[in-house]
Amino acid sequence: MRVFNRIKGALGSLIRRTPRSLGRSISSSQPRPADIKGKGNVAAQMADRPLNKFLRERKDAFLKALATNKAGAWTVVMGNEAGGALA
Amino acid sequence: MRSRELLLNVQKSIDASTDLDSIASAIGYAFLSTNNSKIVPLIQTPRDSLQLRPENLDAFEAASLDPSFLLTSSDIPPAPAPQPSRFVLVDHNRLLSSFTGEVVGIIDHHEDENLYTTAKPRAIEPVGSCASLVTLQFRSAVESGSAEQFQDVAVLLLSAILIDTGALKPKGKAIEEDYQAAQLLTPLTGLETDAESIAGDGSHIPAPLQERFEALSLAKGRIGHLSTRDLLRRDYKEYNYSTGTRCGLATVPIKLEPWHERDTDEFWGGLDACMEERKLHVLGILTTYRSAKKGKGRRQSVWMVRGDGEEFDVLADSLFKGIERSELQVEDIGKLKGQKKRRVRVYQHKNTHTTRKVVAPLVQKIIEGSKEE
Repeated sequence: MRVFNRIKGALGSLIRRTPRSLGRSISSSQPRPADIKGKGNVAAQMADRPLNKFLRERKDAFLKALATNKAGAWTVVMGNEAGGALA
Repeated sequence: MRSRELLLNVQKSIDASTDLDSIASAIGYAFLSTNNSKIVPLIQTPRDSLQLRPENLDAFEAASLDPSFLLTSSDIPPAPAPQPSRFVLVDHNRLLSSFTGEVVGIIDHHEDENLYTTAKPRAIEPVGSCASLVTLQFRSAVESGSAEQFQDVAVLLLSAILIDTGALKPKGKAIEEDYQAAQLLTPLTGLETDAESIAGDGSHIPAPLQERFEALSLAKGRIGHLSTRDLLRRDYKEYNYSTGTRCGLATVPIKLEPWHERDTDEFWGGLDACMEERKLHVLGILTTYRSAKKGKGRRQSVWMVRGDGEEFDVLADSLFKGIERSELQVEDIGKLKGQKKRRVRVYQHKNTHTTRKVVAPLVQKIIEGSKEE
């Protein structure tokens, strides 16, 4: 009987605690509005870095030229498809 | 001559993933061509295959590069849609058969095939990394450029140099030009070291460069999660021999045993599927890894011959005997679980310098030689 009461007590305690504990862990793992804003800023800063800006603008302009059959003046720089030495 | 003959037989490896040297060289060349506004780097990897080389992703992250901005082969609609027609080749010096047009520049560190002799620039030198030649080609721009403008491209180029030369290891692949390029790039990277601390003979490489190399190497080995199909296609070349034999060679940078043992059915299924998909008679897998105890470079190979009929028994026999007698200095590891009746040999290489550069001409010699006998 004593064992049963202990188990019952432990279960009751677990049932009472779980929703709050779970709720807390879920809410703490979610990004907060401030974090989301921060991430957006980081992404924007990344996109504006000189190399990213160059890659994005050139890609867009080249694909536009290619689609309209005006890519004749463009030079494409390309590497070996699988890299490394061929032979 | 042998390598040129072989080169002619290299087929397009459709889903293979471009290595960091090719990517960094293409991006570096286009970015540093500051007087040309109509130049664009093309990464010859389908977008969904970029993840096959985690070291590339590591370098992109270090260089703050967003891969979604890269122009990849997935972005070019196939013919009959208009195709690019004017090229600068980096890290190779023969235009792939899937393209036609004018080659206006070449920067490469492979054997010169003496094509496109009027291309400018035409710099083909046996340096450790093609990215070094690209850096030196634009020396004045790099020297006069600001860290703010060039930091990310410098990190990318330096990462390629480090990974291709084993962190500029002395008596390795690095030569004078690689050290010069590293000295030019380092001040722009934001790494906490200066150019003077890089010895011109590799006798001293500063810790931040070593750490960058370690990070890249660690990332390179992070491929245990890839499927057998992905492991095979990430670094794969195909050859058609004069005998009509079709051979695929895949380089896989992990030890064979853990790969095979994680799921033997998936392993053999992946090999069978690769041979079926690529219509191969021979599949060679070259594994490279470091020993657990001393961290020394090790190599193994798996050879599988497929086809109905006695002629393929003969092919397998001559291939296996040829490899066993060769400079690869192999030791037969024995049968692998699940091998069943497949024609397979698995070898440990005592000669640890047996890269695909060495193995591919050897296999060609064995297969074409066996037909002549």
